[in-house]
Amino acid sequence: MAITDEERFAALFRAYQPAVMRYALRRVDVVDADDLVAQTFLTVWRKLDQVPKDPLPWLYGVTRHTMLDGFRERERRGRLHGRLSAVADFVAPGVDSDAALDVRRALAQLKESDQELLRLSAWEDLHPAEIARVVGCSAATAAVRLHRARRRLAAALGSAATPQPTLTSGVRP
Amino acid sequence: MMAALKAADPVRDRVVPYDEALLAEILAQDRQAPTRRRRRKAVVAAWLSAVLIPIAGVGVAGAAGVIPSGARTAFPWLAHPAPGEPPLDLSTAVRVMVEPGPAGRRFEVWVAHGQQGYLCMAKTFAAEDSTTTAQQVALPPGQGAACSTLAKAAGGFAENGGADWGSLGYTSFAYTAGLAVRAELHLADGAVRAVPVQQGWVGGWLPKGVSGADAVLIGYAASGAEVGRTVLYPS
Repeated sequence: MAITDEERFAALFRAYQPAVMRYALRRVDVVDADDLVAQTFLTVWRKLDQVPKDPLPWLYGVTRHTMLDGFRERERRGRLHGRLSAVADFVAPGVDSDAALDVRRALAQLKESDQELLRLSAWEDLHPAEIARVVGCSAATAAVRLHRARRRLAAALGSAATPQPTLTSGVRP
Repeated sequence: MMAALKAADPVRDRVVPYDEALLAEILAQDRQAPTRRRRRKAVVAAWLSAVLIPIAGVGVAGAAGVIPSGARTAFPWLAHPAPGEPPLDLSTAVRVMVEPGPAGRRFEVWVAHGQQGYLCMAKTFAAEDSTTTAQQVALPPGQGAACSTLAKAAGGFAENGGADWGSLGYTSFAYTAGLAVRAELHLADGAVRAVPVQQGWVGGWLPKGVSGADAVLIGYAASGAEVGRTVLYPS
């Protein structure tokens, strides 16, 4: 007997919901992440026949589109809170080092498309071919863009590491 | 530089257990492409399930009993994770199965999650007249436990878990159920026993003198299709 759609979806959900939730938590706040995951899997349930054999990049892509749609909708309603660029402010309680905060601040200086490529590579552990499936480009393009994004992040980290002038007694600019 | 970025992952230490209640809620949704109004309702329903059902889930977990902090003996990885394996988050430990056990005890299966999808299972025979405590979860020795990454654990029938024929003389076993909603244990002597499936896990025990060697555990989906099988242990 064949596996039903419900069984197939349940297996997909159980296998990948935590990964999708982690993807969401890396990009939006906790409340929005719950909403985002629910909407994503609702979409997956309705497009079950489109799920590819290696579903994770596709799931990230659905989540990303859902997230961007949600932000567009908020923007239309004048309630955009800029959460896409707020990742530098997302601090996991009690576990973040200064170095981690510096890196996330540097990341937040980049344009959003560069941030997403770097996050997909470093945090979701995706290869360029998989990243390409998430953001909708060719693998070669993803690889080139990722390389450039890494260079920009390194530059941003370098400028962040440059010592800032400090005021001491008796010395004024 | 990428290593530094990887270390800056804001959720690298966050445990994200999967939400079975949300799954049920989504499965209950209309699969037709929604109109704008229907879509809004569906999204609201999904959002409510995402927010409210985990709260209910906490209640269920609470009713089932969360392992107290002394459960390090039941989940030794908490205190001493194996090299390369992440520690468990004790607050995620929940009892996923309770069945009558031998000698007036309860057969229980406990599951706890760790970082990066790590998951551990522990089996025990708890005292019948007790609420489960760390000590009862911890005893008797030899009832066994198993750990896996979530990608493997959540992947399907019997992809995480294990069987033990411990020092007390009872064979016990617990595995992830995957798609299975019911299961059977086919013993080497031809006998067939129904095996309970609870909260995504299939497990049970055999009386003293009944061998689990070469016994085959078979899981079945709601449609009746076999979804997987595993041998408890070879003779």
